[in-house]
Amino acid sequence: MTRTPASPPPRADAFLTAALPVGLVGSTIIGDLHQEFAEIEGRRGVLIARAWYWLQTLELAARYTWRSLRGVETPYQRLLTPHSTLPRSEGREEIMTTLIGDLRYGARLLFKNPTLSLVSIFTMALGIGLTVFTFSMVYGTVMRGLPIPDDERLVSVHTDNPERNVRQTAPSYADLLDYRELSTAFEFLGGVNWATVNLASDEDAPERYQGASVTADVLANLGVPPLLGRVFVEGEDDLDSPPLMVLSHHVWRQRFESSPDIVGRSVRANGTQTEIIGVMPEGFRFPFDHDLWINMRLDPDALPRRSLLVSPVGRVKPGISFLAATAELRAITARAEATEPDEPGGYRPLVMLFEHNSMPPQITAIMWLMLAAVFGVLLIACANVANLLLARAALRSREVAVRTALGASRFRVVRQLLAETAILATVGGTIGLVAAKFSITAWAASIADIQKPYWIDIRLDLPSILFAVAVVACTAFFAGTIPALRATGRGMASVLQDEGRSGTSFRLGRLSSALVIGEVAISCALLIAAGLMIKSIVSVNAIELGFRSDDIVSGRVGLFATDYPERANREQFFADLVERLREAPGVRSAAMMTSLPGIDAATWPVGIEGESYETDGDYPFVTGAVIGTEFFSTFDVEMLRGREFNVSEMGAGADPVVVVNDSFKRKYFADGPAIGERIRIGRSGTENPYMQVVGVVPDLHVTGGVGGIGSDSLPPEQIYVSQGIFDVRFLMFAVRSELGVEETVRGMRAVVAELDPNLPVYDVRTVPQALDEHTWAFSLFGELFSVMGFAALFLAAVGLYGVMAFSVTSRQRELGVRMALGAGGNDVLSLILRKGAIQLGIGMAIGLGLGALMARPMRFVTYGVEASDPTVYAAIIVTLAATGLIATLVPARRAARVDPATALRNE
Amino acid sequence: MAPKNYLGEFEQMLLLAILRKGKGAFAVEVRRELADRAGRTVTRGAFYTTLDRLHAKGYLTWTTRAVEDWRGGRPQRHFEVTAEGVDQLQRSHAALTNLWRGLSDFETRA
Repeated sequence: MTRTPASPPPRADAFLTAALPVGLVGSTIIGDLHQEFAEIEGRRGVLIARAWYWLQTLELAARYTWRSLRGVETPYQRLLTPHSTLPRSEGREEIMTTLIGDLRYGARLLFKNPTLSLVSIFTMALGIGLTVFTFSMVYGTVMRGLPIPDDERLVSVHTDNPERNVRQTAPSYADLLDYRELSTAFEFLGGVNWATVNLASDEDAPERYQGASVTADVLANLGVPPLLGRVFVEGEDDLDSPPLMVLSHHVWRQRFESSPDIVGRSVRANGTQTEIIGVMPEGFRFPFDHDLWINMRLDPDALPRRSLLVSPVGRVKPGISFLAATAELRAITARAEATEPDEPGGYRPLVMLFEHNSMPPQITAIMWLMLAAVFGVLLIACANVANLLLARAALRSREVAVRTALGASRFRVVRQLLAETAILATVGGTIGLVAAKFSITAWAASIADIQKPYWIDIRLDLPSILFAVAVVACTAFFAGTIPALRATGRGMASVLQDEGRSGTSFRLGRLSSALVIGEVAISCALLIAAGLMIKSIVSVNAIELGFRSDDIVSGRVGLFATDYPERANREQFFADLVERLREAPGVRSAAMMTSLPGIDAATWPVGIEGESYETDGDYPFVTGAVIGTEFFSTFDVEMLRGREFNVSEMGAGADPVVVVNDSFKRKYFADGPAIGERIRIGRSGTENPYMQVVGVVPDLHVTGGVGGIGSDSLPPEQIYVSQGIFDVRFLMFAVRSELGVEETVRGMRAVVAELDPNLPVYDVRTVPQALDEHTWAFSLFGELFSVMGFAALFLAAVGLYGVMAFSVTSRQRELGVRMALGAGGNDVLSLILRKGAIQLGIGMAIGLGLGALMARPMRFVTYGVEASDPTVYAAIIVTLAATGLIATLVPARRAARVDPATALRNE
Repeated sequence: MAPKNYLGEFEQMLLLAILRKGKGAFAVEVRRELADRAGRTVTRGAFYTTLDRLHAKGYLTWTTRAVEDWRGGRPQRHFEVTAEGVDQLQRSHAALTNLWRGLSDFETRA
């Protein structure tokens, strides 16, 4: 019987080769193993033999590694022959062997002192893990940038009009055409508008996508070539060009199953036959989180100059500043306004970095603040490890002195100490990195559903890992250098002299105190940030909505001009829809509206009949929504005065009516009942009709902005306008039902499908869900700052405890003498406590100042809490003082119980 | 002057096993001898590090020989107890024998 014998696992051999002594001996041992492997394999099969082989390998490797660690000579031996080291392997660079010797010796010391090492490693892991996590987040959000070439020159153009109190709106299409023709500052300047696109085909259900309507030059000039087919070419944004579409990779994959012959196929988009001409590569979702692109076909003369708005996107030429580009566009605008005196003027375009569109500078500021905060935590961690090592360095000062006396250079001794911190930081850093990796994955999953710019991608990639390595190196350096220099900085004679008597002479005092004060200060500042955040979360959760949100499910439909050409068609559809919804099984009430109460309200300038306004800037702003009948009863809002709208007030031509809230009534109709007064939306020259106030409702809570950020700036005055006044194409509906959410949703979809099978229902969710989505930013930043604050508190407490405990131990003799001379336990207790309290006090005073500084930029992400909230500051002072005192009290009590005889005998 | 260091129990067993296998005993054989004769199975790591230690003390030497393929082409060590090693063994043995003398009551178990 012949067979080829199996060979032992090669990886095990590689492992062994690394662990066993170099040269013949190692080779023969592996040979022995191979020999026995062959026998076992023959007797019991290859699986068992392999398992056996691995067991032997691990045991051997562990044994030899352990031996080589223990086998390092003692420092005294080494000092006698400063440059000889174990292992005595020939041919290695001397410096290398010395370094390895340092590391081995360091590792051995760390094994000898496991508690200290574990505390240090845990501290470093916490500090490094948090830092890497935060860095990855900040990097993915604001540093990595767009996956588009030259994105630092990619800009968008907004326009302000101080006279009309307009901020950062899009310029008009006519302006854009002027800019394109006259400006010399741009490589290209195109237009982008967001467009909702319903895709339908004969076989599939209609689906709604976030599309972008773009001028022909946008996709062609961004610098990202299509994966399939082509992008729009010049002339395809003319009014008479056919409707065309470019798909994103994921729509191509999901809706069209990655069909290779997609190019040239025709689909129905918003009711129009549209040809698909290309597919963009994976990950391209420009400008925000878009699914597909259609060619913009606008008629610049169809509407008054200021009515058709388009967001310009372009790339400035190299070397042209945004300021210069802005100046040029302003000159062009001014010239155009001068030629059209009838049109409203005073518009001031502004060129800004494209990225700032969706990442407001406030968010960026918070991101950087978070990174700064986490560096604070890292600093505390470093200070802690430095303190622990300092304490040990004090105990080892004699060893160091002996080594110096025997001829070791200061550099040599410092390097030895640094090697130890390098080991601590590497182990801690590895643990921290693994923890960060898991946290980042979990974090990314938890925010996957939030609408955010497509280039935000939070993951642990190369930059984060490089950053982690740099952090570990710096941590080792800072945590190691201070104790190392400190330990070697003294004259050896003095150490050797008094070492015989006591371990106390090494003065940890000032340096250690400074580190503790620094720690307390930083954690105090971080805790203030965390406190403000926590209070802000509490405020968000405690918001009095003013309306009922449970049992209510909402959805949205949008009608397109192709299917519903006349206003009357659209009004009829909405009227039918709400009526049928109300008749659906289980439904108690239903209403139509442009936005749910509490969310995404519009802001309008209004004029009150009888008031005079000198300039357009004097018109007050209100938040508002367009609503139908039974809106307030659906959300269980009691009318304070008057009534809701009735059916006869819906639709074009009906009497224009409005409901105002209590704040509005108090501000503008303080003396009267408000009912019967007339207001209108818009400023001077508006053609909007005056609307009669028919009801007054309590204030309903409203959030807005990005994830609720900026809600505080919304005006508290609210108006609700009847559906008849504006021609709306998109409406939300809310249904309160006795049935469960799923059944209600099914019922809603059935009603819509009955009316128009091609119409998708989107944004389907319960009102509480919708509200949560709009307050995520508070919880997001709140959680992060809280984690950092408590990590800092914990680390500072550990640090304080460590220093106090060490100081008590090293002062044992002094305390013993004091007690022998008559000091009582309480005297000793207060002596130690006083020292701790002073450090705590100074640290907190500095920390409160730092915290107040940090609190200012945090206003943007807090809700319902002042930067100087006294309860937050008081709570932090109490928490920190209590933690600090406990950390001091434990060692102080131990000191007070010392038996003087024992203390003195120990010497 | 009395010798300071006696051989440890396992060191003695190892040296004896090598002597039993005769000149040029190799590791696998020695391990098997220990298991068969003394019922002593030790971990591989302990086995090799003890061999190294005895070698460092000068109680055994080894030579290598290139052998067949089934060792992955790796050489084999053949061990031999040195005169010093034998001397140490004898001393340990003598010390034990001396201690046993007169304790025949306890000597019953093999």
